[in-house]
Amino acid sequence: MTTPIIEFLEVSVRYEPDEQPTLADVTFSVAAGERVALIGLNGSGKTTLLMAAVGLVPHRGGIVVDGIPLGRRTAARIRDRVGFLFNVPEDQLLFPRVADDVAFGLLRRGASPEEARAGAQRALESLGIGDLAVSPVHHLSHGQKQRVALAGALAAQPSILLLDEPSAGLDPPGKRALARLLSARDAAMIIATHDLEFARRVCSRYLVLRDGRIALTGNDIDAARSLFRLDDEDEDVR
Amino acid sequence: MRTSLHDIWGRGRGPVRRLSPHTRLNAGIAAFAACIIAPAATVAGSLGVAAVVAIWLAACRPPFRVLRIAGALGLVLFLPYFLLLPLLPDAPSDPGGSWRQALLVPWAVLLHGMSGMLVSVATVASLSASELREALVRLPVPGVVSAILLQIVHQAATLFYETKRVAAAMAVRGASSGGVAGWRVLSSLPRVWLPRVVERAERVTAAMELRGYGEDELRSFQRSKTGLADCAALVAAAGALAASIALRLWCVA
Repeated sequence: MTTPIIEFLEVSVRYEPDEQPTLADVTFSVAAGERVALIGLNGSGKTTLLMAAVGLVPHRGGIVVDGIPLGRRTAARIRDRVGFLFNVPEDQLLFPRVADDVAFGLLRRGASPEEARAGAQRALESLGIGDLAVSPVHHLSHGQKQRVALAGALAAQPSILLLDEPSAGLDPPGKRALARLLSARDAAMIIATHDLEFARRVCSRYLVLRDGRIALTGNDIDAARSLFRLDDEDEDVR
Repeated sequence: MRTSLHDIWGRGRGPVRRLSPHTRLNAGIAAFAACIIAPAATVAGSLGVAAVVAIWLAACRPPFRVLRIAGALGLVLFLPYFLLLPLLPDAPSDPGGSWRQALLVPWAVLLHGMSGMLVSVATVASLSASELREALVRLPVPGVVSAILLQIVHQAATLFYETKRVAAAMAVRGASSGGVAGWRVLSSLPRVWLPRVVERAERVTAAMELRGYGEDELRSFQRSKTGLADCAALVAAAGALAASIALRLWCVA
C-alpha cells in the first residue's frame, strides 16, 4: 500500500466546550498523488477539516502531513508544503497587485525576484488570467480573485493541495479548465466542494461528511449523490 | 473615473513616477519633515514651506479632486484654531498683547498641518501600494513594522470596498427610502459591519499565518537601481530639509 501523505487519526474539533463537535473522531488518509473530494452539506465540517490539517484550528487526535506530526512547532513546516485555498479568496490575497501576491510563495521559498515573477506569470497563465498580472486585486471580480488565490496556491507546485470550494464563483469554461489543470497535477489533494460534477472530473475518491463525521468513503459518486439528493441541483451546474 | 480619497495610491501623474519607489518615499518624508520643522513665525519659513509644498505637488501631480478634498479637510481641521485667539496669552485684549503675536499660533498650526497633509497626499499619490512595499524594503524599517504597515494599507482598501458593498445592499433594502424602514436599516449598520470586520480580521490572520506572511524579512519583488535622477531628487529633498533645519536654528538663536 502507498504511504499516506495526509493522515487523520480520530480527529475531533470543538469550537465551544458546550457545543456539538464540528468534527468528531474523523479518521482517514490520503495517499501521495491521490485526489479526494470532501463532500457534505453546509456546516458539515468540510472547511474545519481542511483548517485542522494545517493547524489553523485546535484539534484532538493525530494529524500527520507528509510524515510530520502536526503540532505547534511543526505547523510552519507543514504549511510550507501545502497549497491552500480558503473559501473566501479575498481573505488570502495579501498584496495589492496580482503578480506580487502569486509570487510571494515562491519568493518565500528562496526564488529570486525574476524566478518568482516568471513562476507567478506561469501560474496565472495556466488559469487563463495571465493578463491580470499587473491589476490591483481590489478591482477584480469574485471569480477572478478565486483564480488569483488558486494561482498563489499552485505557483510553488506543492505536493499537497487543500482546496476549499475551488470551483465556486468560476464560470463553466473556468470550471472545466480548472478541472483539467488539477487532474494533470501530480499532487495529493483534498477538495471540499458541493459541486459533484467537478468532483467527479477531478477526484478518484469521495469522502462524505455529515454532522462532522465521515458518513461515506469510496469511489462511487452516485452513492454520495443519493446520500444528499443533490441530483437536481447538480443539473444546474452542468 | 472618480477617485476616492482612499483610492489615490499611485494616481499621481507627475515626473517623480520615473524615479525609483524608495527615492519617492524618501523625498516625500524629507519634504514632510521640512514643512514641519520650518518656523512658521518667519516670512522666510512660511515662504519656504509654501515653496516645498508647491514643488512637491507639481512633481507628484495628485488628482485635482483629491487635492481639493484634502485642502477642504485641512481647512475644516485647522481653521477652527483661529477661534481660540481671544484665549491665547498674546491675545490683543491682554496688556502688551498684539494681534500679530496671537495670530502666529493658529497660523503655525494651519501652515504645518496643511502642508504636512498636502505633502502626504502627494507622496501617497506618487506611489502605488505595490511600490510602497518596494520602497519600504529598501528603508531601514524593521520587517515586522513594514509588514504591518503594508497590511493596514491593503486591508483598509479591502474594508473600503466591503463597506461600499454593505452600503449598496442597505440602499437596495430600504436605507434610502427614509422613514422608519430606512432608519431601521441604517441603525443595523454597526451590528452588521462590525462583526463582518472582526470575522474578516480573523480569517485574514489565519491566511497570513498559513502563507507565512511577516515571518521572514520582506524581500523585493523586483530589482530597482538608483540612477542619477534619483540622486538629484534625494539631494534636492535633503537640501530643503537642511534649509528648514537651519532656518529653525537661526530663529532659536
